[in-house]
Amino acid sequence: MNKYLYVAIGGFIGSVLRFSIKHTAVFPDKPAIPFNTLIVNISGSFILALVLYFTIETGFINSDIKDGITAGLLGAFTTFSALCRETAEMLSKGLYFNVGFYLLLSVSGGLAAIYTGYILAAKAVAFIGNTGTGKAEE
Amino acid sequence: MEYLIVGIGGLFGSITRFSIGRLLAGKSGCVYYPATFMVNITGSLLLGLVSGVGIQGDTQRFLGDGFFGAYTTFSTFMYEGFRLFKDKNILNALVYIMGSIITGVTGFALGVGMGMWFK
Repeated sequence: MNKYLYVAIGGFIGSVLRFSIKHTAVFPDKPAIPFNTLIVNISGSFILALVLYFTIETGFINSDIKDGITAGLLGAFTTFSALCRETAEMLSKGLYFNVGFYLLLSVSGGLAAIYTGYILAAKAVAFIGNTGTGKAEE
Repeated sequence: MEYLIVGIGGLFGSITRFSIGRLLAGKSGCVYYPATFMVNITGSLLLGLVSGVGIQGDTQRFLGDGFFGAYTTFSTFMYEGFRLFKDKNILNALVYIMGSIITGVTGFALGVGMGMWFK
């Protein structure tokens, strides 16, 4: 039951955050590409990789809170359906260049974000390992 | 309050995605390609249906931004794609990523078509 509670809370928070970013006034009225979705998807991917790789290395694989953060919050924060809707809508308007640019940025940005989170998690684990065992600087 | 409506929709969306993942993945952990693919594709299709039928206002925010926004996920999708690349499974990585997007966009369009037919 606990797992599901954390996922529910995370899902609530993640959705509200995503919606807030969508309605922030920072974005131009008729953007070339959906920046709000791009931002949530890339930042969410980065944090997911950071959390997942860190918990995999340090062994908290069955933590309910981890599920709440990853599957709950970040799963809800990022979205695939909006990406598909936006792509379909841009295609229907003949904005083929915008679509290509949007998908390229989303996927390459997303993969780069995962990679960055992966590297950072590795460094964090190494740092903790060194300080934990009192190793001298290498 | 719009935000509450979106939040509650998202709550159910996340729980549904998580439950499907656990059902399909069993013990293999929190990332599992068929589960993610399934939720992303069905979510896009159903979002298209909702759009095609012409749902507006609070219901649209509950279902679109709320439920399907949370039900589908991009972060897990990218995590899995990266893992495929990392394991030197380049072809599968490309097929998974491009296949998901193509199927998802097509699914959305089909959903819109179906929705408009029901309208």
